[in-house]
Amino acid sequence: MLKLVNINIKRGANIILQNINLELVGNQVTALYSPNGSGKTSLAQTILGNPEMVVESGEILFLNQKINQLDSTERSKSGIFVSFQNPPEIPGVTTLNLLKESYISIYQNKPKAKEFLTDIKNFNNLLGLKEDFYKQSFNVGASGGEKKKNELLQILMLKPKIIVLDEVDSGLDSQSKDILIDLLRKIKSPSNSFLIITHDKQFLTKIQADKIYTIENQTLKAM
Amino acid sequence: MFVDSADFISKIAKKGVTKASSIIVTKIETKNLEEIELMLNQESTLEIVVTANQSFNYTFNLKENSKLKLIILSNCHTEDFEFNLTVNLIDKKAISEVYFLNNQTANLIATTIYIQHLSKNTISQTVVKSINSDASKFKAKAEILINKNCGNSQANMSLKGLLLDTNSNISFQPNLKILENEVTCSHGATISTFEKEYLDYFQSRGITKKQAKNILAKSFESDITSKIPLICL
Repeated sequence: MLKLVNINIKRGANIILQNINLELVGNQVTALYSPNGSGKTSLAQTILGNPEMVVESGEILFLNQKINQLDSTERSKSGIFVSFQNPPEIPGVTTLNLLKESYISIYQNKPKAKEFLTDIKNFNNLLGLKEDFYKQSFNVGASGGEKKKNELLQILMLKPKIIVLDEVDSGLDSQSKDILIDLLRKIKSPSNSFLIITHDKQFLTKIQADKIYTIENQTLKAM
Repeated sequence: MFVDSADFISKIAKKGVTKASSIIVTKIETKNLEEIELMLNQESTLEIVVTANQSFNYTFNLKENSKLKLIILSNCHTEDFEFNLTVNLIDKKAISEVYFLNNQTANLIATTIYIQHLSKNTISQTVVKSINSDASKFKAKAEILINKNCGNSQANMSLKGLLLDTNSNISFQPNLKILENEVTCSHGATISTFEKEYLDYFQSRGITKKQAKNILAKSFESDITSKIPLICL
């Protein structure tokens, strides 16, 4: 579904990652397990299309189409979701509102209101968020764990094809991690693929990834 | 009780003084009424939504236990305007709420707001917000006076500006004159642009920058627009 072919990534004047080759296949969980500072988030942000990450050479292919020139809006609309390590707090904009606008942009159609509300309520509760969380200003006053769960809520509602979870386990208590792992198993399907980025070995073991990579000397290595 | 604006206007002279004696909700346009001096009688309540499409000069005098809720919406596109508002809380327990929202292009709007606490136990809340783009300018001078012997009064003033481009200009001049000790008073003034962090996040969720700015501008306005009585919409 997503292929990175011989990618070299620069940020400013610095080469961050070199000769990156990665394929995310449908119905699979790929894990990226590496220490802090090795370039995991840079890779995630490159997949997202963050303009600070410059792909100097190589190709990014999504569903066999080259997407190097697409910005993050277009990549998201095509079905690529990258969770944020530190999601922002946005006063005055509710999670519900943001999700609705995102859905409309991605699916080019308004969601059926009743179903949409029912789904968001159910997923909100499933994730163990406060009952009215989705009606509050986006992440305002939320704990680190709640912000991470809000990223998961978006995945459940928007149903992306490529799901990159960047350290989503950090900030979650062990019960919430179990909910996350359970959710992964439920959502995983031939129409999506996960890239899970973590530096927690215990969590890595639990997710039972189909493939595991690490970053050594600025490049990916299969473990 | 909703009062049709034509009836409301017909009851007051251009520069006259009249009395409101019950709960009245109405909406007016400043092009139909450039000047008001209005007295709110004891125990009365007046809620007005004002569409500011012409310069205006309004004064409200509030007697004991009366309440004024004034929402001014400015969306002028063709001329420079000057808005002057004075609210005098002349008797105890009078309450004033003033909300001013300006959303404009290519003009200068100069606004002066005076809130004067002239008695004990009076309360005022004043919120001014402006969104500016296309080289437009907004100036607001907002002053709160709490006079001597006006103890146990509360006054809050908030001025917030949102600049959508580098050619527009917002200028705030808040002022507090407090001549009494036993009062609670606060004021704040901020001018900002869209946080890059928010725009990046919206874009990562498939929302274009333009759409994101619209959403953020609407949310900026929402604490004022949400106060408009349904009947005035």
